[in-house]
Amino acid sequence: MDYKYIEQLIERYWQCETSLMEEQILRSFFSQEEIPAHLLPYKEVFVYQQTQQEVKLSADFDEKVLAAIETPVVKARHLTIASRFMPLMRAAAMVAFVITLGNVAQRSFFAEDQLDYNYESYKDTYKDPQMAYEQLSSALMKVSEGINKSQAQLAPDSILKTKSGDDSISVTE
Amino acid sequence: MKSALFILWMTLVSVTVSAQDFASRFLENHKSDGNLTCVTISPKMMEKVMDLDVNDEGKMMDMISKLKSMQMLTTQNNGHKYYKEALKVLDKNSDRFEPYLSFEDKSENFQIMVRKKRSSIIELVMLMCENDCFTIINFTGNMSQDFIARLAKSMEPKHS
Repeated sequence: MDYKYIEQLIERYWQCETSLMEEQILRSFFSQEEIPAHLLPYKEVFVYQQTQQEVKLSADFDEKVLAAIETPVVKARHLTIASRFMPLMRAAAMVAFVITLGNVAQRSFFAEDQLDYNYESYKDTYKDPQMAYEQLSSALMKVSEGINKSQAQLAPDSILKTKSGDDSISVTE
Repeated sequence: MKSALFILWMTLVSVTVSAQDFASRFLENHKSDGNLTCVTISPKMMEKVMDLDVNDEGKMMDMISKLKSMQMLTTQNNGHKYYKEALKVLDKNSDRFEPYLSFEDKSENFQIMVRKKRSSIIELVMLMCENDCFTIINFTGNMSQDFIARLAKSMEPKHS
């Protein structure tokens, strides 16, 4: 079989001198199954062109593009009472959390000496320690008097008993 | 920012209120009451008192060494009214204070309450109403049952 015409067409194709009709002839030729061995290297080129011409956009391509570029429609949202108060409830939960955290921290910080009083707010009445000592002595005497009177009224056998019952202390020998 | 400040404020209020002794709590309700006299001895003054050279055979100093602070409120008028109000404050804080001892007769009422942590008494409150005079004595410190026993034993009670 004479393939001179095809060879010429190929030669002109590489020189960019072929017409559209001639290029179509080349594509038709190379779409055959039986191609001579010396022309086989060109087959891929023209088969590729042929298949790419058949590639088309899918039917839903327009829809997809339009959906991507269209502005979104803002819909009114129905707010329930629960969702309306959600920020308030969140804030309340946060306050409760912080207070709990504060109490836990306070308990752990003061765990060692066990005294959790705000002594910074105390304003001393006396500047003279001797005066303070006398006042302390007087107060301790009054408490002692109170304890002894309570003891005498509660327990004639001189045994002090607390109201809880389990903490009993002996004050006389 | 505002909510953060609000949360911080709430936390501070919570901590401050829980860090008050009984006398301070009672005074909160009587801020503008001119009848009440308050004597305060802070922990700093207590340390200075401990540095005093007092010849009492160590009895009083031994007692004072267990104390951290003292507040004493007194009034000479309407003692019974104040006494009842103090009992109400105690009742409100019943989870904090537990009754320890009490005494009652025609002319005198005593109520001693303690606040405990673990095995220690960290606060002792005595309410006293004698005739029309009212007194709150409020000690804080690390006291114990033994401290109370020794206080009762070593101090000479003034029997009126």
